Amino acid sequence: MDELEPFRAAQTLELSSVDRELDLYLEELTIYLRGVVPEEDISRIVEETAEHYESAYWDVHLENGSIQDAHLLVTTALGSPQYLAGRFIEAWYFKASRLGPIERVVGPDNVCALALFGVADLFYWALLQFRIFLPSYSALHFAWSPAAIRHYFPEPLPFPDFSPQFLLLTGIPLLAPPILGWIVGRQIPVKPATAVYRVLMPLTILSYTLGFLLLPITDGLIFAFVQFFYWVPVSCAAAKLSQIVQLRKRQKHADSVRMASGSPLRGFA
Amino acid sequence: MCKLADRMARTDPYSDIPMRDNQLEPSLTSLLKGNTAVFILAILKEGPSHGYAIFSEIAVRSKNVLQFKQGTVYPLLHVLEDEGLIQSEWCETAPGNLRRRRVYSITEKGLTELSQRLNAWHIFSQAMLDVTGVKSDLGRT
Repeated sequence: MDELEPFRAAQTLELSSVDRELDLYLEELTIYLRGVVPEEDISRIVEETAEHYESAYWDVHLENGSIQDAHLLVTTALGSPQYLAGRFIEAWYFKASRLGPIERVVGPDNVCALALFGVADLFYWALLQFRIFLPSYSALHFAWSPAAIRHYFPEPLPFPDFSPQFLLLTGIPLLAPPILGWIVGRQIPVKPATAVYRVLMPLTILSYTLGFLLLPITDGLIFAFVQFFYWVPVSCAAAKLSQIVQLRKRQKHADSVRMASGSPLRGFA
Repeated sequence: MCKLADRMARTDPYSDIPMRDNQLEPSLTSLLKGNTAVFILAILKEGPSHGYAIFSEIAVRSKNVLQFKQGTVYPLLHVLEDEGLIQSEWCETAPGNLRRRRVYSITEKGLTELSQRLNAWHIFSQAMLDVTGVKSDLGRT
Protein backbone atom coordinates (compact mmCIF):
# COMPACT_ATOMS: atom_id res chain seq x y z
CA MET A 1 0.00 0.00 0.00
CA ASP A 2 1.31 3.41 -0.96
CA GLU A 3 2.33 5.24 2.22
CA LEU A 4 0.53 8.34 1.03
CA GLU A 5 -2.76 6.51 0.37
CA PRO A 6 -4.31 7.12 3.82
CA PHE A 7 -3.34 10.77 3.57
CA ARG A 8 -4.95 11.18 0.15
CA ALA A 9 -8.04 9.30 1.25
CA ALA A 10 -8.46 11.63 4.19
CA GLN A 11 -8.28 14.64 1.89
CA THR A 12 -10.95 13.43 -0.54
CA LEU A 13 -13.74 15.39 1.08
CA GLU A 14 -11.64 18.53 1.10
CA LEU A 15 -10.83 18.36 -2.61
CA SER A 16 -14.12 19.99 -3.53
CA SER A 17 -13.09 23.19 -1.72
CA VAL A 18 -9.72 23.14 -3.47
CA ASP A 19 -11.43 22.74 -6.84
CA ARG A 20 -13.77 25.56 -5.95
CA GLU A 21 -10.90 27.89 -5.10
CA LEU A 22 -9.08 26.94 -8.27
CA ASP A 23 -12.24 27.55 -10.32
CA LEU A 24 -12.65 30.96 -8.73
CA TYR A 25 -9.02 31.83 -9.38
CA LEU A 26 -9.33 30.78 -13.01
CA GLU A 27 -12.60 32.62 -13.43
CA GLU A 28 -11.05 35.84 -12.13
CA LEU A 29 -8.09 35.31 -14.42
CA THR A 30 -10.47 34.91 -17.36
CA ILE A 31 -12.32 38.09 -16.41
CA TYR A 32 -9.10 40.09 -16.61
CA LEU A 33 -8.09 38.52 -19.90
CA ARG A 34 -11.40 38.57 -21.74
CA GLY A 35 -11.80 41.38 -24.23
CA VAL A 36 -8.06 41.78 -24.61
CA VAL A 37 -6.59 38.37 -25.41
CA PRO A 38 -8.27 36.06 -27.99
CA GLU A 39 -10.42 33.25 -26.65
CA GLU A 40 -8.18 30.43 -27.87
CA ASP A 41 -5.24 31.99 -26.02
CA ILE A 42 -7.36 32.42 -22.91
CA SER A 43 -8.33 28.76 -22.88
CA ARG A 44 -4.69 27.73 -23.17
CA ILE A 45 -3.62 30.13 -20.43
CA VAL A 46 -6.37 28.93 -18.12
CA GLU A 47 -5.59 25.28 -18.71
CA GLU A 48 -1.87 25.75 -18.13
CA THR A 49 -2.47 27.79 -15.01
CA ALA A 50 -4.83 25.16 -13.66
CA GLU A 51 -2.30 22.41 -14.22
CA HIS A 52 0.42 24.50 -12.60
CA TYR A 53 -1.80 25.25 -9.62
CA GLU A 54 -2.55 21.57 -9.07
CA SER A 55 1.10 20.55 -9.31
CA ALA A 56 2.18 23.33 -6.96
CA TYR A 57 -0.71 22.71 -4.60
CA TRP A 58 0.13 19.06 -4.01
CA ASP A 59 3.78 19.89 -3.43
CA VAL A 60 2.91 22.54 -0.88
CA HIS A 61 0.03 20.63 0.70
CA LEU A 62 2.19 17.62 1.36
CA GLU A 63 4.63 19.81 3.24
CA ASN A 64 2.13 21.92 5.12
CA GLY A 65 -0.92 19.71 5.53
CA SER A 66 -3.39 22.61 5.59
CA ILE A 67 -5.64 23.39 2.64
CA GLN A 68 -5.94 27.06 3.51
CA ASP A 69 -2.21 27.52 3.94
CA ALA A 70 -1.45 25.56 0.79
CA HIS A 71 -3.93 27.60 -1.23
CA LEU A 72 -2.50 30.87 0.10
CA LEU A 73 1.06 29.80 -0.57
CA VAL A 74 0.32 28.61 -4.09
CA THR A 75 -1.67 31.67 -5.14
CA THR A 76 0.85 34.02 -3.58
CA ALA A 77 3.67 32.28 -5.43
CA LEU A 78 1.65 32.16 -8.63
CA GLY A 79 0.54 35.75 -8.36
CA SER A 80 -2.92 37.26 -8.11
CA PRO A 81 -5.24 36.76 -11.12
CA GLN A 82 -4.89 40.45 -11.92
CA TYR A 83 -1.10 40.32 -11.80
CA LEU A 84 -0.93 37.13 -13.83
CA ALA A 85 -3.37 38.46 -16.41
CA GLY A 86 -1.28 41.61 -16.71
CA ARG A 87 1.82 39.57 -17.51
CA PHE A 88 -0.03 37.46 -20.07
CA ILE A 89 -1.55 40.54 -21.69
CA GLU A 90 1.83 42.20 -21.93
CA ALA A 91 3.38 39.09 -23.51
CA TRP A 92 0.50 38.73 -25.95
CA TYR A 93 0.37 42.41 -26.89
CA PHE A 94 4.04 42.54 -27.92
CA LYS A 95 4.12 39.08 -29.51
CA ALA A 96 5.94 39.47 -32.84
CA SER A 97 3.70 37.08 -34.77
CA ARG A 98 0.60 39.26 -34.35
CA LEU A 99 2.34 42.52 -35.27
CA GLY A 100 2.77 44.13 -38.67
CA PRO A 101 6.18 45.21 -39.97
CA ILE A 102 5.84 48.79 -38.73
CA GLU A 103 4.54 47.68 -35.35
CA ARG A 104 7.48 45.35 -34.91
CA VAL A 105 9.90 48.23 -35.40
CA VAL A 106 8.07 51.05 -33.65
CA GLY A 107 5.91 49.12 -31.18
CA PRO A 108 2.16 48.48 -31.44
CA ASP A 109 1.40 50.98 -28.67
CA ASN A 110 3.33 53.75 -30.41
CA VAL A 111 1.66 52.99 -33.75
CA CYS A 112 -1.78 53.22 -32.17
CA ALA A 113 -1.04 56.50 -30.36
CA LEU A 114 0.69 57.98 -33.40
CA ALA A 115 -2.19 57.05 -35.69
CA LEU A 116 -4.60 59.02 -33.53
CA PHE A 117 -2.55 61.97 -32.32
CA GLY A 118 -0.54 62.20 -35.51
CA VAL A 119 -3.69 62.52 -37.63
CA ALA A 120 -5.13 65.14 -35.27
CA ASP A 121 -1.86 67.07 -35.36
CA LEU A 122 -1.61 66.84 -39.13
CA PHE A 123 -5.22 67.91 -39.59
CA TYR A 124 -4.70 70.92 -37.34
CA TRP A 125 -1.58 72.02 -39.21
CA ALA A 126 -3.32 71.62 -42.57
CA LEU A 127 -6.21 73.78 -41.32
CA LEU A 128 -3.77 76.37 -40.01
CA GLN A 129 -2.09 76.58 -43.39
CA PHE A 130 -5.46 77.29 -45.03
CA ARG A 131 -6.31 79.88 -42.39
CA ILE A 132 -3.02 81.70 -42.78
CA PHE A 133 -2.44 81.47 -46.53
CA LEU A 134 -5.98 81.15 -47.90
CA PRO A 135 -8.18 83.15 -45.50
CA SER A 136 -11.17 83.16 -47.81
CA TYR A 137 -13.85 81.89 -45.46
CA SER A 138 -16.54 84.40 -44.69
CA ALA A 139 -16.92 84.94 -41.01
CA LEU A 140 -20.12 84.95 -39.03
CA HIS A 141 -20.84 88.50 -38.03
CA PHE A 142 -21.79 89.44 -34.52
CA ALA A 143 -22.88 92.69 -32.95
CA TRP A 144 -19.51 93.43 -31.39
CA SER A 145 -16.82 95.47 -33.02
CA PRO A 146 -13.38 93.98 -33.60
CA ALA A 147 -12.06 96.15 -30.78
CA ALA A 148 -14.68 94.79 -28.40
CA ILE A 149 -13.92 91.23 -29.46
CA ARG A 150 -10.22 91.88 -29.00
CA HIS A 151 -10.96 93.05 -25.48
CA TYR A 152 -11.92 89.48 -24.60
CA PHE A 153 -9.50 87.72 -26.96
CA PRO A 154 -6.33 89.82 -26.71
CA GLU A 155 -3.25 89.43 -28.82
CA PRO A 156 -1.50 87.10 -29.52
CA LEU A 157 -4.58 84.85 -29.47
CA PRO A 158 -6.08 84.29 -32.92
CA PHE A 159 -8.83 86.74 -33.84
CA PRO A 160 -12.14 84.96 -33.23
CA ASP A 161 -14.02 85.38 -36.43
CA PHE A 162 -16.18 82.37 -35.45
CA SER A 163 -15.91 80.89 -38.92
CA PRO A 164 -16.04 77.08 -39.20
CA GLN A 165 -12.28 77.21 -39.69
CA PHE A 166 -11.81 79.14 -36.47
CA LEU A 167 -14.10 76.80 -34.55
CA LEU A 168 -12.15 73.79 -35.77
CA LEU A 169 -8.84 75.44 -34.98
CA THR A 170 -10.07 76.13 -31.47
CA GLY A 171 -11.98 72.92 -30.96
CA ILE A 172 -9.27 70.48 -32.02
CA PRO A 173 -6.63 71.69 -29.53
CA LEU A 174 -9.19 71.72 -26.73
CA LEU A 175 -11.07 68.50 -27.38
CA ALA A 176 -8.53 66.21 -29.01
CA PRO A 177 -6.46 65.41 -25.88
CA PRO A 178 -9.21 64.07 -23.61
CA ILE A 179 -11.05 62.26 -26.40
CA LEU A 180 -8.04 60.73 -28.12
CA GLY A 181 -6.35 59.99 -24.81
CA TRP A 182 -9.43 58.09 -23.68
CA ILE A 183 -9.54 56.10 -26.94
CA VAL A 184 -5.85 55.24 -26.68
CA GLY A 185 -6.39 54.10 -23.10
CA ARG A 186 -9.01 51.65 -24.32
CA GLN A 187 -6.96 50.43 -27.26
CA ILE A 188 -3.61 49.91 -25.58
CA PRO A 189 -3.71 47.46 -22.66
CA VAL A 190 -0.14 48.07 -21.49
CA LYS A 191 0.99 51.49 -20.26
CA PRO A 192 -1.10 53.64 -22.59
CA ALA A 193 -0.04 56.89 -20.90
CA THR A 194 3.60 56.10 -21.62
CA ALA A 195 2.81 55.48 -25.29
CA VAL A 196 0.93 58.78 -25.50
CA TYR A 197 3.86 60.63 -23.93
CA ARG A 198 6.36 58.96 -26.28
CA VAL A 199 4.34 60.04 -29.29
CA LEU A 200 3.36 63.54 -28.17
CA MET A 201 6.83 64.77 -27.26
CA PRO A 202 8.21 64.45 -30.82
CA LEU A 203 4.96 65.90 -32.20
CA THR A 204 5.34 68.87 -29.84
CA ILE A 205 8.92 69.43 -30.98
CA LEU A 206 7.67 69.30 -34.57
CA SER A 207 5.00 71.88 -33.73
CA TYR A 208 7.60 74.18 -32.19
CA THR A 209 9.70 73.89 -35.33
CA LEU A 210 6.77 74.62 -37.63
CA GLY A 211 5.65 77.40 -35.31
CA PHE A 212 9.02 79.13 -35.59
CA LEU A 213 8.91 78.77 -39.35
CA LEU A 214 5.54 80.52 -39.42
CA LEU A 215 6.74 83.59 -37.54
CA PRO A 216 5.77 86.46 -37.40
CA ILE A 217 2.41 84.66 -37.41
CA THR A 218 2.18 83.29 -33.90
CA ASP A 219 -0.67 80.79 -34.28
CA GLY A 220 1.73 77.89 -34.77
CA LEU A 221 3.80 78.70 -31.70
CA ILE A 222 0.68 79.12 -29.62
CA PHE A 223 -0.45 75.68 -30.71
CA ALA A 224 2.98 74.28 -29.78
CA PHE A 225 2.66 75.81 -26.30
CA VAL A 226 -0.83 74.38 -26.01
CA GLN A 227 0.50 70.97 -27.02
CA PHE A 228 3.23 71.05 -24.43
CA PHE A 229 1.26 72.44 -21.51
CA TYR A 230 -2.16 70.99 -22.26
CA TRP A 231 -2.04 68.12 -24.76
CA VAL A 232 0.71 66.13 -23.05
CA PRO A 233 -0.64 66.12 -19.48
CA VAL A 234 -4.32 65.89 -20.39
CA SER A 235 -3.82 63.14 -22.98
CA CYS A 236 -1.65 61.08 -20.64
CA ALA A 237 -4.13 61.55 -17.81
CA ALA A 238 -7.07 60.61 -20.05
CA ALA A 239 -5.29 57.48 -21.26
CA LYS A 240 -4.39 56.45 -17.72
CA LEU A 241 -7.90 57.17 -16.47
CA SER A 242 -9.40 55.13 -19.29
CA GLN A 243 -7.18 52.20 -18.37
CA ILE A 244 -8.06 52.52 -14.68
CA VAL A 245 -11.79 52.64 -15.44
CA GLN A 246 -11.53 49.47 -17.52
CA LEU A 247 -9.53 47.75 -14.81
CA ARG A 248 -11.97 48.81 -12.08
CA LYS A 249 -14.82 47.36 -14.12
CA ARG A 250 -13.06 44.02 -14.29
CA GLN A 251 -12.15 44.16 -10.62
CA LYS A 252 -15.77 44.77 -9.69
CA HIS A 253 -16.83 41.86 -11.85
CA ALA A 254 -14.18 39.61 -10.30
CA ASP A 255 -15.15 40.71 -6.78
CA SER A 256 -18.81 40.05 -7.48
CA VAL A 257 -17.98 36.56 -8.71
CA ARG A 258 -16.00 35.84 -5.57
CA MET A 259 -18.68 37.27 -3.29
CA ALA A 260 -21.37 35.30 -5.08
CA SER A 261 -19.40 32.11 -4.47
CA GLY A 262 -19.24 32.86 -0.77
CA SER A 263 -15.62 31.81 -0.64
CA PRO A 264 -13.81 33.04 2.49
CA LEU A 265 -10.37 32.32 1.06
CA ARG A 266 -8.42 34.95 -0.75
CA GLY A 267 -4.86 33.95 -1.52
CA PHE A 268 -3.63 37.35 -2.57
CA ALA A 269 -3.94 41.02 -1.74
CA MET B 1 17.14 57.86 -21.15
CA CYS B 2 15.17 55.57 -18.87
CA LYS B 3 12.15 55.87 -21.19
CA LEU B 4 14.24 54.81 -24.17
CA ALA B 5 15.63 51.90 -22.19
CA ASP B 6 12.10 50.91 -21.20
CA ARG B 7 11.02 50.96 -24.83
CA MET B 8 14.06 48.99 -25.92
CA ALA B 9 13.46 46.48 -23.15
CA ARG B 10 9.90 46.13 -24.25
CA THR B 11 10.92 45.22 -27.79
CA ASP B 12 13.14 42.53 -26.36
CA PRO B 13 10.78 39.72 -25.42
CA TYR B 14 13.26 38.27 -22.97
CA SER B 15 13.90 41.37 -21.00
CA ASP B 16 11.57 42.24 -18.24
CA ILE B 17 8.54 40.01 -18.04
CA PRO B 18 9.42 37.60 -15.24
CA MET B 19 11.81 39.72 -13.23
CA ARG B 20 9.76 42.69 -12.23
CA ASP B 21 8.55 41.38 -8.92
CA ASN B 22 11.23 39.05 -7.76
CA GLN B 23 12.64 39.34 -4.30
CA LEU B 24 16.30 39.79 -5.17
CA GLU B 25 18.26 42.88 -4.44
CA PRO B 26 18.14 45.44 -7.26
CA SER B 27 21.68 44.81 -8.48
CA LEU B 28 20.97 41.11 -8.94
CA THR B 29 17.59 41.87 -10.46
CA SER B 30 19.10 44.07 -13.12
CA LEU B 31 21.78 41.45 -13.81
CA LEU B 32 19.24 38.70 -14.21
CA LYS B 33 16.95 40.70 -16.45
CA GLY B 34 17.07 39.25 -19.91
CA ASN B 35 18.56 35.93 -18.72
CA THR B 36 15.48 34.03 -17.66
CA ALA B 37 15.01 32.92 -21.24
CA VAL B 38 18.51 31.45 -21.14
CA PHE B 39 17.65 29.46 -18.01
CA ILE B 40 14.54 28.09 -19.64
CA LEU B 41 16.36 27.14 -22.83
CA ALA B 42 19.15 25.50 -20.84
CA ILE B 43 16.69 23.36 -18.92
CA LEU B 44 14.76 22.41 -22.04
CA LYS B 45 17.99 21.48 -23.77
CA GLU B 46 18.18 18.51 -21.42
CA GLY B 47 14.73 17.31 -22.34
CA PRO B 48 11.09 18.35 -22.73
CA SER B 49 9.45 19.73 -19.64
CA HIS B 50 6.36 21.58 -18.47
CA GLY B 51 6.09 24.98 -16.86
CA TYR B 52 6.01 23.97 -13.21
CA ALA B 53 8.93 21.60 -13.62
CA ILE B 54 10.95 24.31 -15.40
CA PHE B 55 10.29 26.77 -12.63
CA SER B 56 11.14 24.21 -9.93
CA GLU B 57 14.33 23.21 -11.70
CA ILE B 58 15.49 26.83 -11.91
CA ALA B 59 14.90 27.27 -8.19
CA VAL B 60 16.67 24.02 -7.30
CA ARG B 61 19.70 24.55 -9.53
CA SER B 62 20.14 28.12 -8.37
CA LYS B 63 19.76 26.97 -4.74
CA ASN B 64 16.73 29.22 -4.44
CA VAL B 65 18.67 32.35 -5.37
CA LEU B 66 16.54 32.85 -8.46
CA GLN B 67 12.98 33.24 -7.30
CA PHE B 68 10.18 35.03 -9.02
CA LYS B 69 6.44 34.80 -9.37
CA GLN B 70 5.78 31.34 -10.76
CA GLY B 71 3.10 32.58 -13.10
CA THR B 72 5.54 34.75 -14.99
CA VAL B 73 7.24 31.69 -16.46
CA TYR B 74 4.27 31.03 -18.73
CA PRO B 75 4.14 34.37 -20.53
CA LEU B 76 7.83 34.00 -21.27
CA LEU B 77 7.30 30.46 -22.52
CA HIS B 78 4.63 31.77 -24.88
CA VAL B 79 6.97 34.47 -26.13
CA LEU B 80 9.78 31.99 -26.70
CA GLU B 81 7.40 29.72 -28.57
CA ASP B 82 6.25 32.61 -30.70
CA GLU B 83 9.88 33.36 -31.52
CA GLY B 84 10.37 29.75 -32.62
CA LEU B 85 12.93 28.95 -29.94
CA ILE B 86 10.76 26.32 -28.30
CA GLN B 87 7.71 24.30 -29.27
CA SER B 88 4.96 22.75 -27.22
CA GLU B 89 2.17 20.21 -27.26
CA TRP B 90 -0.54 19.03 -24.94
CA CYS B 91 0.10 15.80 -23.07
CA GLU B 92 -1.89 13.78 -20.58
CA THR B 93 -0.77 14.21 -16.98
CA ALA B 94 -1.83 10.68 -16.12
CA PRO B 95 -3.98 8.03 -17.85
CA GLY B 96 -7.59 8.85 -17.35
CA ASN B 97 -6.85 12.30 -15.90
CA LEU B 98 -8.81 14.98 -17.69
CA ARG B 99 -6.24 17.64 -16.87
CA ARG B 100 -3.75 18.17 -19.71
CA ARG B 101 -0.25 19.48 -19.42
CA ARG B 102 1.60 21.66 -21.92
CA VAL B 103 5.04 20.19 -22.46
CA TYR B 104 7.73 22.35 -24.01
CA SER B 105 10.81 21.32 -25.94
CA ILE B 106 13.64 23.27 -27.48
CA THR B 107 14.02 23.72 -31.24
CA GLU B 108 17.12 23.96 -33.40
CA LYS B 109 16.77 27.70 -33.43
CA GLY B 110 16.52 27.63 -29.65
CA LEU B 111 19.71 25.59 -29.37
CA THR B 112 21.52 28.08 -31.55
CA GLU B 113 20.21 30.99 -29.54
CA LEU B 114 21.18 29.32 -26.29
CA SER B 115 24.67 28.62 -27.53
CA GLN B 116 25.12 32.23 -28.64
CA ARG B 117 23.82 33.64 -25.40
CA LEU B 118 25.94 31.36 -23.24
CA ASN B 119 28.96 32.26 -25.30
CA ALA B 120 28.26 35.94 -24.89
CA TRP B 121 27.71 35.49 -21.18
CA HIS B 122 30.96 33.58 -20.81
CA ILE B 123 32.90 36.29 -22.61
CA PHE B 124 31.23 39.00 -20.56
CA SER B 125 31.70 37.30 -17.22
CA GLN B 126 35.33 36.56 -17.97
CA ALA B 127 35.89 40.19 -18.96
CA MET B 128 34.14 41.29 -15.76
CA LEU B 129 36.43 39.13 -13.65
CA ASP B 130 39.52 40.30 -15.53
CA VAL B 131 38.66 43.98 -15.26
CA THR B 132 37.58 43.94 -11.62
CA GLY B 133 40.24 41.49 -10.50
CA VAL B 134 37.67 39.52 -8.52
CA LYS B 135 38.38 35.82 -8.23
CA SER B 136 35.71 33.60 -9.78
CA ASP B 137 35.43 31.47 -6.64
CA LEU B 138 33.94 33.74 -4.01
CA GLY B 139 33.74 30.97 -1.41
CA ARG B 140 29.97 30.75 -1.61
CA THR B 141 28.39 27.44 -0.66
